[in-house]
Amino acid sequence: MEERILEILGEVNEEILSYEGDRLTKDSIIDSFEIINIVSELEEEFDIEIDAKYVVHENFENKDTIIALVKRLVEEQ
Amino acid sequence: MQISILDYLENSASRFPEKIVFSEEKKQISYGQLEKTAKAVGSSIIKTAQGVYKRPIVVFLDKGIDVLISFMGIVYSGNFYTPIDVHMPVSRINKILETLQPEMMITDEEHLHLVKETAFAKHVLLFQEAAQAEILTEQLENIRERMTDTDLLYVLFTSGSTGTPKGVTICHKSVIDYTDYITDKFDITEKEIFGNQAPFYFDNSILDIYCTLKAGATMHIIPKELFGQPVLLLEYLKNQRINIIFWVPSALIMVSKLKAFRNVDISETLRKVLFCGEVMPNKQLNIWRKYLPHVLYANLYGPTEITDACTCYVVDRKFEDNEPLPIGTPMGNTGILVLNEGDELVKGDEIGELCVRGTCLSPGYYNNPEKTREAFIQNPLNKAYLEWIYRTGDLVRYNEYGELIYLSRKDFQIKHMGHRIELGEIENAVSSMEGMSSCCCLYDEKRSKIVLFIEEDLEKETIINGIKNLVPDYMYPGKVIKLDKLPMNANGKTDRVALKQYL
Repeated sequence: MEERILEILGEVNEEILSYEGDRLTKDSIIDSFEIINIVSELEEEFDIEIDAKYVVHENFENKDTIIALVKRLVEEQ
Repeated sequence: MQISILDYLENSASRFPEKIVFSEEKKQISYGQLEKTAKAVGSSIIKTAQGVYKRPIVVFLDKGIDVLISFMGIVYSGNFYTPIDVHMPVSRINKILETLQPEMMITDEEHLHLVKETAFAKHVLLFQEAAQAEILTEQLENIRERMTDTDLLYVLFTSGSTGTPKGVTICHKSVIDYTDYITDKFDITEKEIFGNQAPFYFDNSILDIYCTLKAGATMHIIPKELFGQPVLLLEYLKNQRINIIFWVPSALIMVSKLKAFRNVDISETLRKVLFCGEVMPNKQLNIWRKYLPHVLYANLYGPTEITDACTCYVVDRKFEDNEPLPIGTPMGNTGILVLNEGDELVKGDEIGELCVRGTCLSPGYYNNPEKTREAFIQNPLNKAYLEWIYRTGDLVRYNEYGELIYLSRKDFQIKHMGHRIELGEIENAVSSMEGMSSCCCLYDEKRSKIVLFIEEDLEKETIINGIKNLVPDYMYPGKVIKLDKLPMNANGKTDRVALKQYL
């Protein structure tokens, strides 16, 4: 699963994969359109619903927090 | 009679001296304080750069209240302002400085080192010091008496096709004209609470700033990071009781696409939603309309050269997801001429270039007579006296309601297999497909091929299937190129020049 998430993130923006910090959105590595793309791609791939309340900086700090979010949502289903 | 925008500030300051005019995350300022601090900044400018009058002054600060105080201070000093984005690459800043030749830059300790990296070698004023300067009442009054409404208020830079930014000059009279129209049209009063999204170097912010000042309203500068966090953004709007917003469509789309309306109900507070700057897809607007049916929605259109916007459409009927939203009819005191290639007015639904006349017109590009002559010309329908029009380069036509419909840029009209095609029409069709975010079409002249750039992983067949009911077959893309991300220019629009390298 992790690999597939990374693939999706890389397709949206390769910089996400190499980014080491914890301010992905604050550092303007990704913009709001990319966030929209990531959310809709992940929703489709894993057949989950990412509620808008999860689209906050804490869940988009870097690739690890995004993976953790998806795992949590998949488990909750 | 009103000569400058300072009358807006001073009238509201005498009506509501204690009322908050601008507010940001950790700071706010009343009308009374704004007038006083702006006069201090103006006095400091006069003292630092003696005799400087009707000259450009750059504001180089993070977005916030201090920028707005600086704008007013610069006007008090008899000069005009140019805000520069502190995140702009130094090489582009230098290009702007070269064209503008400013007398002064207003900055703060935090950005001083960046100013030193640029080629700028004249007066640098630190905002914090300027804001505490002694007010030189007599000198401010002298300057005020010499002002006319044809003096420049600001110069904003837009990207030029050749790579050198163009400085669009705008006079006080144009902003006064625009502000008077907008406040009337949308019944903007002191009850308004604006939620500002537009950066201050982008002219959409003109509406927020000057409507607020004129009406005695309040404007909240929304923290930028909220635009990637839709629920927090809506909660912010709700908590601040924001009742009017004027955003770029992409900010509105973020909210609707991420389904944030399910989490926060702002129907009790939000009353007016205006937008401008790019095409608003009806698919997304329909989501807004579904959740917030009692809000007034208005689509504004216009380039920087005619003072933010020159036409307006108040959404008053239903639209299918794939229909284009009209840009509407001319604003008051503004003339729109749709001219065909023979420089005659179009007939019926003939396509033509949208040209503008009126008080809204910029007096040209700063220090650039060549580019000015290309775009600002004598009205070809008037042979009797001087009357300038601005050629927008935007192609439009009238629909059956007599409303203007934006089609595309003039430069992107193509001839393909004998057919006259607007690339914007293809883009419009593709954008209406399920799950499509942004797309862009270019024409590969060499291979006579329409090339579509998308961000989604979709086959050409899927795309053609999706648009076959919307456009004739000769408009189908011959090639689909998938990019991780469509390149954007400095104004947040798709960078077509950068896309050409993929052809």
